[in-house]
Amino acid sequence: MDILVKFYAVDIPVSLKSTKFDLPEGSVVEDALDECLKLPEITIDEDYFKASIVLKNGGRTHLKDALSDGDVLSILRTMEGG
Amino acid sequence: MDLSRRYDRNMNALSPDECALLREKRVCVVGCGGLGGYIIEILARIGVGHLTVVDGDVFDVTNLNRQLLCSEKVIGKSKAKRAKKHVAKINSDVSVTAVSDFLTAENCTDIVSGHDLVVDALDNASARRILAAGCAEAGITVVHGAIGGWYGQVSVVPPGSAVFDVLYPEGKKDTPNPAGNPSFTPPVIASLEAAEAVKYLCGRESPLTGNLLVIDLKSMDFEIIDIA
Repeated sequence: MDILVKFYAVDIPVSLKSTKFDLPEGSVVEDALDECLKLPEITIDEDYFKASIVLKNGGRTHLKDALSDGDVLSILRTMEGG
Repeated sequence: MDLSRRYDRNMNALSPDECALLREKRVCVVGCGGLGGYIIEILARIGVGHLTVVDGDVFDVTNLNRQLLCSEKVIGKSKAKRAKKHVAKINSDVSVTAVSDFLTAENCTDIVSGHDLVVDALDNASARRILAAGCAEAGITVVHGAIGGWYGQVSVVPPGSAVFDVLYPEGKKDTPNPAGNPSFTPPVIASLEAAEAVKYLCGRESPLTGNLLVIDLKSMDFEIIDIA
């Protein structure tokens, strides 16, 4: 199934800021994040990346939530600085 | 010195009635560091009537690269007291209360109560959760901003909105910022927060109410995300 991942505030080339992944049926949100981390262009620490805010189709989601074909995941790196 | 034309250049961007309205408003800026310094400066110059500036911290040498209120002479001095002195130099029309305390669950509601708006210039998730709870209890809207490296975010958070719950959920640890704090990001995000504050105080609508503007200064992408 196709999952579109949009990256926000993540250091990644502009061409990859919106990237489609082909994941097996039964995949969950964390599987998509693991696929993202396989991109050589993402050099962010795994724990820090997985602490990002993840929205599925604009709504709150959790790492173990199931994915469906056509889902859009928005990954916002947590920003706390002031 | 005749300062009667102090607000001339506000005109047309703001109406005379809006300028007069700003003079009656009370705004609490929580945090007087990278974001807060610029926000306080902008709100003072545009003529917000009263500012309460809150920060329990003192200036540190690592603040020199980006914090407007920090200079070599004030290392070790209270950020909140420095903010008050700075505003006095810019605009004697503006009254300022300096609170040299960190925000806690115990003092938050007392500090924010009595203001028309709170502006978030904090630097960690746990303090923001405290601020969100205190402002929800007091029924006060928060203009939120945060930065990390080349990135920033801004939102207008009405009381009861889920924005803070989404961005900084309970139980999530404070995450150290590996992205750095360069000098150019705070003034961008602070200016956007100040613009949202002025709009809110003047009763204007904002597309950021309940939504999050995410700014990427590398690619110059500005995108509004519905997160609530």
